[in-house]
Amino acid sequence: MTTHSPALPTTLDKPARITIRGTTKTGGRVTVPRSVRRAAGPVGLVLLWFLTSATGVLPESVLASPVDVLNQAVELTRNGELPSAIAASGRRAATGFLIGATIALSLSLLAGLFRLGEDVIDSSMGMLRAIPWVGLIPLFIVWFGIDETPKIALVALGVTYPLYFNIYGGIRSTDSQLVEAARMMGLGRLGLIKYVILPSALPGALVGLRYALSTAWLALVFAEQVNADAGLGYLMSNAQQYFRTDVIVLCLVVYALLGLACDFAVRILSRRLLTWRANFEGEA
Amino acid sequence: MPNSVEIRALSRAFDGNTVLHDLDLDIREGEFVALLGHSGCGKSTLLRILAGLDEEIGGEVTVPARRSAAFQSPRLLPWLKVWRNVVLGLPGRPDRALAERALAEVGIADRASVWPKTLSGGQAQRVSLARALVREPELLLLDEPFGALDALTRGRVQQLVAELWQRHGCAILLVTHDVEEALLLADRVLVMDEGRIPHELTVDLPRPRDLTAPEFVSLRARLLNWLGVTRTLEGTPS
Repeated sequence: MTTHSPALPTTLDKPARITIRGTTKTGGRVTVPRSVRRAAGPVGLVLLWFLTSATGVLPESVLASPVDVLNQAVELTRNGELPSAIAASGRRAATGFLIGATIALSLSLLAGLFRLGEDVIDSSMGMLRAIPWVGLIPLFIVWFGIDETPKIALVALGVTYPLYFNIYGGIRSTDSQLVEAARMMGLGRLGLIKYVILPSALPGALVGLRYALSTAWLALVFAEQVNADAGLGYLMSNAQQYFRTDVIVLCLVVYALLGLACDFAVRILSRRLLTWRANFEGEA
Repeated sequence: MPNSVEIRALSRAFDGNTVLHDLDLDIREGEFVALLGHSGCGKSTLLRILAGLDEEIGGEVTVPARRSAAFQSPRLLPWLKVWRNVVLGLPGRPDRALAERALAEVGIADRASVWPKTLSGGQAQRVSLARALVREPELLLLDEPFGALDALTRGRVQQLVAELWQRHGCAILLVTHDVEEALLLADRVLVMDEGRIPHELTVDLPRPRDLTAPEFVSLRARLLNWLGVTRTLEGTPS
């Protein structure tokens, strides 16, 4: 038939029938493992960095080559400077994080569970969040001097906001139908908090924890620019004075690795704690 | 039989909008009562009041202290294993054996230690029934518990509820908008309209009931008529 049917509009670009091909692999095609695919991007970037350094396109005064950075890492680890710097910075981050997390947890519980707490706390937190916390460094120096205290305080402050807002949001997003059913089953106030409200706030709290940990390291980088006599920031500002880009890059890499390690730990923790959630895993 | 539920001059208004008008109702011990009505007629409001979830009422309501409920959605806590959901809120340590007995009674003993997310709709509703019955209630409140189930599953769970009721002997108030469901299960069917109960029907048919029996068909026609639904029987889609 070559005549056009007037009843059917011509849909040349859309075939009337499609074939769905199975995706189950029956051998033959070589598939790259997912882990290799994931590693390809970062490895490629480092390779590019190495090549541009080796050929002189990227001069050392701008950015040291990865080989120099690696050598510095070995050297500073051998003479103990890097481990002690990591320990000093880690101590600040951990102390600040614990203080900030304690504050955030207490405030979010008060605001989340009690109407009065919400009225008093939540609006204040909203207002305080509008202040850029990094901008508080000068004020912290005036208040706490230039020792450890302002550094820990800055980390604590950076940690408090993401944790507070995520836990508070988690508590408030508790399904009221579940609360009703649990009350019907005879749970009292404490039982409701333990079995319904806190578990339902947990996914949000874990998201907050991830943000909080990355903020903790960020806050540390800022804080350690101020008169540090130990720690990664001290190492960095020393290196800056002698134009040692290899040490600066090394410190940045260490910051990044520490941040990654924390993120990884939280992801493991989430997987453990949230086994009850059947989640979308992404397509192959 | 003494009364399990006594409702006297009950009224409930939301922002000046009266949902229940001066209601009087008794439910005898062990009686199965179905409450029929269109959406928004006040039937769920009445059930919530009997459940103790809504206390801003006028009038007086007397209910057994031991009562429990199952809702249209199963409302299981997703972070507790199925058996922990069943014994949630019971005093003392969580009693797994008790939970397993209750789950066996609703026919899903093998799902005791899975997460609720992995259950099908019918299974989740069975868990919800087990959770309600493990408390040995004198009054069981059912808020359209079959509404979200597919037709085949619904029939099976309805059958289960009939059996459980006969075994436990508790009074049941079933809120539904399904006329056949009400007639299959209940001793008495109440028709609710705009916060009043203008019609009431005692179902004297022997159990298990036959949907095609002429008495059943005529009772159904009466109820449909009261609900303002006029359909010819031949054209009735089931």
